[in-house]
Amino acid sequence: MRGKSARREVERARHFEAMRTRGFRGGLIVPHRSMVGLPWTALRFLTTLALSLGGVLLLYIALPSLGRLWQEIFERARDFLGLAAPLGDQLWNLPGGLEFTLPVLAAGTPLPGDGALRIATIVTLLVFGLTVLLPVRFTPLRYFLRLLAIIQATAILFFAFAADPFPYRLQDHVFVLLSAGLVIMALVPLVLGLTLHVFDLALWKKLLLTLAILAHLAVFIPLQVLVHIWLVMHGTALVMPVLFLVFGLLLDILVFVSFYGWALSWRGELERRDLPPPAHLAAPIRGRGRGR
Amino acid sequence: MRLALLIPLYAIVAIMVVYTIRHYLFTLNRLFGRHRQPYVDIGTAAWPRVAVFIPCHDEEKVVGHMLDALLAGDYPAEQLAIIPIDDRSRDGTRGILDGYAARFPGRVRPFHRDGGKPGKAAALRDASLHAEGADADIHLVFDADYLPGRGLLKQLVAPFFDIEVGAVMGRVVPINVSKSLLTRLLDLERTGGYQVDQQARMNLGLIPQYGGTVGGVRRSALLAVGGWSDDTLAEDTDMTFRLVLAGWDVAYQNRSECYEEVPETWPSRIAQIKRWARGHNQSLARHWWALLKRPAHVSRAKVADGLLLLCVYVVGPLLVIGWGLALTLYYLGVQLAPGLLVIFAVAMYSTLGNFAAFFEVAAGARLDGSRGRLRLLPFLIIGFLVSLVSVSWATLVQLLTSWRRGNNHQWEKTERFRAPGMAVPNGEGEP
Repeated sequence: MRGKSARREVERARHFEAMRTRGFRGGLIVPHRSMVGLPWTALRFLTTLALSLGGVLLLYIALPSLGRLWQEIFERARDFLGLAAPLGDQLWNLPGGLEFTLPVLAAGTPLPGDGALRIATIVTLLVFGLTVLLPVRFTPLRYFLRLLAIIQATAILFFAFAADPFPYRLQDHVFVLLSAGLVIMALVPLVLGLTLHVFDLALWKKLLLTLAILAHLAVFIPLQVLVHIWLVMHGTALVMPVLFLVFGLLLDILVFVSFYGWALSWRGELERRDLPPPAHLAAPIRGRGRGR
Repeated sequence: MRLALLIPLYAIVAIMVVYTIRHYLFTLNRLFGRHRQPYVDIGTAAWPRVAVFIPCHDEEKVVGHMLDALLAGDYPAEQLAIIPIDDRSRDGTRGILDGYAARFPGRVRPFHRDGGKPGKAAALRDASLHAEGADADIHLVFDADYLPGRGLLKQLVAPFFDIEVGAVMGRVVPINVSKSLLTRLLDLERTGGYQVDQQARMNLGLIPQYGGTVGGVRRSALLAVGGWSDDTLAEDTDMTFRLVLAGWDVAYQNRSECYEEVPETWPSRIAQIKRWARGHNQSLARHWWALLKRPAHVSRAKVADGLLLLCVYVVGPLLVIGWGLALTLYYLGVQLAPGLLVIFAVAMYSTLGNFAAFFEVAAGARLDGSRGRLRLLPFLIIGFLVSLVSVSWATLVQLLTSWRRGNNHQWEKTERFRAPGMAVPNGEGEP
């Protein structure tokens, strides 16, 4: 009897507690947005840890398959793009005794002749000129085109005047982009652990997002590199600096941030369950130096 | 040669990492830490005398809305003096202010300036010393395009009951969010900056920044540190650090929200951020050494936070230098490790943009309960790029012309976009 009574008391207390956050027609009364925070639980910590480490482990297990996928993509794209170069592979030694086989297209690196330099100079000047003509509402595009033009100008100056030969082959360019892309993929679960899994999204959403980003990058990175190869084959090594600095890793990061922003626009668990977010208010008066 | 280029590049990457960690810690604190909002519940008190200063220069489009909003507030009228400072306006501002003064004698007391140094800082300095009603205990400051809510003044004054508080800052919320992509991006940046950054600083006992509007200073503190500096473009940052170095606290009130008009065009935004950068850099030059020497009452954490805060507009030029070094090393055939490349790319993406990184922005928007706008998160790179170029250019010009002395001050204000007759919210979110 005493146990039953105590249980009833607890239920009553819970009921009254729930009523404190209910308003007109049962609507939820939430604290002002300036005061709300997020709940942090041991379960959230464990799932964050599991998703982060699990993501890295998944990538580790999938490395051989990923290598084969990239090889396959290169093989098919080589024919599609009409790149007449033999396909090979290059072993990349990773920390911890790991190895990863990267596809290599044994294509020569076309260097620009006088004609290509002249055309590139004219195009670069035209692009820069275009930025002056663009209306002010296109200011970001203006700045972006100027950035491209400035980097391209350095490439033109290098190939026109530098005494040393261009230090990169197309193969080096491909190797760096693929290997750095793999580093980004390895960082994805960890960065999500630090910046996304801490939010109150459902576990399956977090898992789905991790897999979606990894899958997207697994296909995007080799295709991106193949586009680079095609552009270098047709535009000579003159375009390599711009491709490397602007259309390389920054695009991969952009993919990540796009997925991240999309995921954080999803409904959280508190909202789905119609629960108010907690207000982690500190005690109003505390001694100087403590919590001030 | 290569080492000489690599060392500064590594140093820049290290600085980026420090800022990234700072953003991360602030955001975690805001999400899960205890919030310090010790003054927000004060509703009844013996309210002190307050002077509200509104620096104006050609503000005919907006100043009427501002005065209406202040006059509709619940602060005891007998304790409140509204002092619009008309600094050589060339439009109808003077007439509007005189009209209000005639309709509300004793409550609206315009202070007209036709001489002396031009600019907001100089106008504030003059008015705080000579305007009728400037002997009030608390000096609040609003820009003319702001729309304070009914209870905002009480909220901003309440922290001054704590005798150690020298300045108070409230939260700025854009009113014209839906005008363009730029205004939406600025809304995201403001969210990260106030909802997360400022509140985390308040929680952690660091240095919340007095932002020059939606806030104010205690008159005795103002006089103790020598009044407003009239030779700076960022009198707010300058005042923040002078007060902290003199032993006063700066309080941030996240609950005290006030609408503002953010720039709707890129030229206006560029002019704004260039002005902020130059003013902030002036404060860096003036206060970094005094802060580094660490007065006895300033904690080490405050020193570290203060230095990082003072240096925020140096990060942009550093990043440009970093990209220059990376490009040079590229042509020299030095391949950076993939990991380092990734860090640099992430830093490039996430460090700039009113310096609220995307995690901070995302957390702020979710706490605000408006998660839909986070789909715009990747577009922040547009704002980052413009900020990076503008801040770097402003800093470079400032460095090259720093030898020039003399009175070259002028009014540098943000363009207003509101039509004078436009219906505006009353500050409580109601149109």
